[in-house]
Amino acid sequence: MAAIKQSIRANGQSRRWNSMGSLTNSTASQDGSRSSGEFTNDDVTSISPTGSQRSSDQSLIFENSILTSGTLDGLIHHVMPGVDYYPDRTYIFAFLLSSRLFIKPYALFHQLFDACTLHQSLYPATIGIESMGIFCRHIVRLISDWTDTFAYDFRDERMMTSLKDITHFCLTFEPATRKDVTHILHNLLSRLSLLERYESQLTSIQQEASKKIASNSNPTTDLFTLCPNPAQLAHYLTAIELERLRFIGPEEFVQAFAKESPTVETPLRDMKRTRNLEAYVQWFNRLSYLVATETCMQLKKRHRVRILDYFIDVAKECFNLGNFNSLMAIIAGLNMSPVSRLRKTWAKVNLQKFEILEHQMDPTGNFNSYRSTLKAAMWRSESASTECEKVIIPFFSLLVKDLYFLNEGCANRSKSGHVNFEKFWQLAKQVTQFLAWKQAPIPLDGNNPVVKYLLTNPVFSESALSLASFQCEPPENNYEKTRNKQLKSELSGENTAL
Amino acid sequence: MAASAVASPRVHDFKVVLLGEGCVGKTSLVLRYVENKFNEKHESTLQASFLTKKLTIGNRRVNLSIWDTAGQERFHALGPIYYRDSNGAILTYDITDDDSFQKVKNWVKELKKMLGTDIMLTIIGNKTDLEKQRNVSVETAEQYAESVGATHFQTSAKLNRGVEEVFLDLSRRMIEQADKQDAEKRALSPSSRSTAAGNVVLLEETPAAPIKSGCC
Repeated sequence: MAAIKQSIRANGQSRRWNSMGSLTNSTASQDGSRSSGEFTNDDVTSISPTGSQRSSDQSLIFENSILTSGTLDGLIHHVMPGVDYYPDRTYIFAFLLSSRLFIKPYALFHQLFDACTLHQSLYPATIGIESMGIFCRHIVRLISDWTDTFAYDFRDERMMTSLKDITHFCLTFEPATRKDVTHILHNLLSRLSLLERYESQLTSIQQEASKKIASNSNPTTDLFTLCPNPAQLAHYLTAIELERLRFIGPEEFVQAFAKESPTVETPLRDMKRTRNLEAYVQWFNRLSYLVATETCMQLKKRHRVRILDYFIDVAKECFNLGNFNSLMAIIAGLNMSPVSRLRKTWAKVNLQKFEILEHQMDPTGNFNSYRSTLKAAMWRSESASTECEKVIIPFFSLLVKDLYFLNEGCANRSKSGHVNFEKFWQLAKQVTQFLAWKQAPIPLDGNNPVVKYLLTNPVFSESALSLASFQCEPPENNYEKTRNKQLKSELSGENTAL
Repeated sequence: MAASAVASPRVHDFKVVLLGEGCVGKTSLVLRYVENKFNEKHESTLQASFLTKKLTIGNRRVNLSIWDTAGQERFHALGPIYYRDSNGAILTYDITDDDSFQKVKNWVKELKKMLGTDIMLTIIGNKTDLEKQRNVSVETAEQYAESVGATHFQTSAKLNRGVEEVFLDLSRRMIEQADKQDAEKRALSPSSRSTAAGNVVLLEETPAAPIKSGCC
């Protein structure tokens, strides 16, 4: 094994050195695969943009020409473009995604600026104007990659400051990059203002919901009356899902790890930017509670049966649309104890249809049936002709779970202190798939009354749901009787809605 | 559904669900048990979130499928989907974090409500390697566990202390429970032939028949 392990000493530096006029044949390929033979192991003077001296060997480790681990410095150098080097795109994505566990994005970005300064200091003595031009174009390309995929990083003022400095540098030495730079800045700003608008929308939805609670705790209408067509409702649900999904930044998954795990050796504990991810989780919970609320607030059994049949149909339509997240939220809502205990109601429901759906979302074998359905859906989606057919909305909780396990199951660093990059390749693979899913656009009309209802109508709390459920079908055993009494005294005089 | 073995001894298929707040070390615990690994670099498989372990207790063979709910804490409505049909539950708290112990109490309440007494409960105080920062006293936890009919253990997934015992004890109790339920079943249908020599397999057997609630 050791024979396969090829360490490349001071990889980034030697490349840079090459770019500065050394005669070594630099054949850095763009696919991240290199054999040690491609680089001279000559002692490389430590001219490095960071000024850091790397004295130890093996800053990057490759196994079967795949980068498996490396020192943080080594990995940082690997992402920095040179005159005759541009990092592999999949590496850029994987590194920008996960490096934030070790170094804050603004600090990393600043190192890019340092690289610019370094090149400037070597001009024109060591680096000619042509080389500078190439270097600048590489830098612009990297910025374009970064702003495209991790736009939210640039909400940090320090990022913006460096961005200004770097683009200024590029425009000075390579005026031809102006068009690209303008394009990058334009796209970035429109992404960020879209995000701002979305955030204020979320806030106003929240406000509207609490206003409704304050003014009236007894809903005057129900979902079935408002939108009797299950296919139509499934369509609205899908539009909401896509809207929420669209705004999640890929980095939020990684930032969520940093936040949750107290043991993570990261400078990122203060980084709380997982808001869009949380908004999406909230939506899932909301939909489950809404389903339970809509069911338990129907005092007539006939109406409860109707609404249960209705939700089962909606779930089926979601399934047909490839909207697995809403499907699962509905199934979860129907499984909540206040709903599932309504035996007399369920006795009249079309269970056959429901069982087919439940089977799809059965957690057995780590959601085996769902995973194969998802695969089939992905395969179908590839050959789809309309935007609508392309839609795949994964069961988000499971995606989070998989990522969580990837994070929990593997260490970020090996005992030698090297960053375990195999883990981050995996992470990048998972998140890339997610990025592909969130592309399909279905416009959401925020003023549509059904959408409004779905997003803002009050839902019952757990206790209120139980109480409402006991009103639908009285307590059956001692446990339920005690609980009913308890809830009555708890909730008397209180507002029953969340 | 249950893979019935043709030959004796009988194989028990048990589902065990792992519950508890985030960061109490649920995942480390199960990884430690199944793969004897603690957060070391290793090949990761996405299937890690669903682990199985085979063990033999006396002449009984047990297949445990362990369902970790880690990372799912914020999806409030999903609980029932995960713990449905479970034969056992492991409720983990962090001995340095009283809130996580309160969360365990909530889970116990919910499980009792949904699954009655059919489910065997084990409560675990994890992270005994952080004894100095302990915030939940052993007595409190043990008293509570006893009051709800659960077994209490203390573990350190990090130091590999007490982990094996947890699963062994829980498996024993699940076997007892399954035997009890079988006996009840036999009592209900006296016509059923006795399982002489242990070579008659109860084909209609479902592992530890779950309570059928309305929708499932």
